[in-house]
Amino acid sequence: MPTARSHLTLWAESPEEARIFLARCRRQGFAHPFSDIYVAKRSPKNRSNDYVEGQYFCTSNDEHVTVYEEVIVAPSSIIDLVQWCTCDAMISDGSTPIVVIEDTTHIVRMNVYQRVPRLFKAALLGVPAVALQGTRGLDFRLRGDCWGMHRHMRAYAAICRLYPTTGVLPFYYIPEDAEKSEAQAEQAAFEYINALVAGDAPTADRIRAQVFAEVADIDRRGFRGHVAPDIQSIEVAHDRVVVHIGAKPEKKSWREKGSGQMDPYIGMIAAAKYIYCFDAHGNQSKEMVVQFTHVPNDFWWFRDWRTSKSLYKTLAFEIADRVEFLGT
Amino acid sequence: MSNSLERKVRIDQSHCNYQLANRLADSGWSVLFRDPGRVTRGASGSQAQVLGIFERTGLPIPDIAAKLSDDLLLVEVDKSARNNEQSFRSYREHASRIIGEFNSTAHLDGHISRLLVGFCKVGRERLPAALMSAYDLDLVVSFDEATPILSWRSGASLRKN
Repeated sequence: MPTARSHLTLWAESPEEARIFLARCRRQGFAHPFSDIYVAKRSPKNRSNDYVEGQYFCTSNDEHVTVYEEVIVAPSSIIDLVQWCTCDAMISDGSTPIVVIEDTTHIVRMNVYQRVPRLFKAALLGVPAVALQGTRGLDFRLRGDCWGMHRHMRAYAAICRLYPTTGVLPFYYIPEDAEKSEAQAEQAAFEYINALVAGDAPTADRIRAQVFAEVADIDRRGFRGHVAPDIQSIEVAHDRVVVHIGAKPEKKSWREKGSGQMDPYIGMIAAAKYIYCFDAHGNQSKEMVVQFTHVPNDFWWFRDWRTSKSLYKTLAFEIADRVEFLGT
Repeated sequence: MSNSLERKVRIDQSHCNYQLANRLADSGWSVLFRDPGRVTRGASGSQAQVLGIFERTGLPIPDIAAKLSDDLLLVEVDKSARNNEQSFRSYREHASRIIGEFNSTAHLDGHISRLLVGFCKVGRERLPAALMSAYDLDLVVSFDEATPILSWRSGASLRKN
């Protein structure tokens, strides 16, 4: 029996992300009107992340997503979802999350797990997640880029195994592949989103099973037949998994970039944990350790990690079971 | 939930960029490129092609590029025109090169013969004519409230409003 939604709300990262999502909704005939639209950041260039404490901007609640000065505090169920960074869009019925969506055109080969934490957080909280994933930036004539895609999909396969009733469903598209076009991926993703919003569990379950099977097949057989070798900085032992971070403390990017040297590592830590640290029954069987090879204990950049709102500072500590600094 | 008409709109670069692009489109312009910030994460279609032109030539990337008939309009959106003086000058100095690049790029839909340069003030601009003269601009856009007010240079304004 379909569910009547009384107060469908869109929570977007920025007005631009909201407009892009609403344009996709229009193209796909998404028939559920949003009562409210809120945005975490007033513009895509704004880097503040007060949203992790629940601050969202009110908008005109229409296709233009005009942002008002007025802010609200999101319900705790929404705040929980964005603690590992916000996805592009989240749909709730009042304060009850229904689905989160990450919409990305590119994959960066050296940072394939970049958006994994925010999607995995949804799965951990029992909220279905969708990754509408373009593959610009990868050239599948190159074996290394097929490995990159395989690593990317392996992370989704792991989270789908651990959280089979929600999972994170990747709907990926390849510009030069007519059978994997963006239009087809968008349509398939919206069939799933639509089913979730309508409360059509049989359709949602069917799509989830199809995507799980495709992802599991890529995990097992490789992407286009290419199985990626293990990443050298991830050490898998019988009782623990160690992500080795070789960032040097003297690098100027610690001072010049908000993300310091941590950008590629946060996603890698999350992916490594859920790929390697759990057994077939979903129980954590290995300790997740993050080890900084060169950075010393009490390194200035991490000193305020307990109180910082910067997710680059906090997430290694939050996701890992233990963080070690081996530098002197 | 309060009535949206009572609420104060947040006028920032993102708002001005979006509203101006919409206004140009409503006036018949074909908006080829708009930089809402997300472009850094990838683009497709004319958005990617225009971005490619400016990355290839090393010229400043405009916030909006739009085409009407044989005119190409490049607009910078900012709080201060002075901050964009270098961009305005670059566009003027390299006008023929920019026009050539657009004309030789496939799928940008037609021939361009004239380059127009505009500035969109994030907020109210009380003296658009003075700004136009000071920076040799064809268009100055101001936001008194949430909607853009377009002031075209005489001669550039034909067919534009």
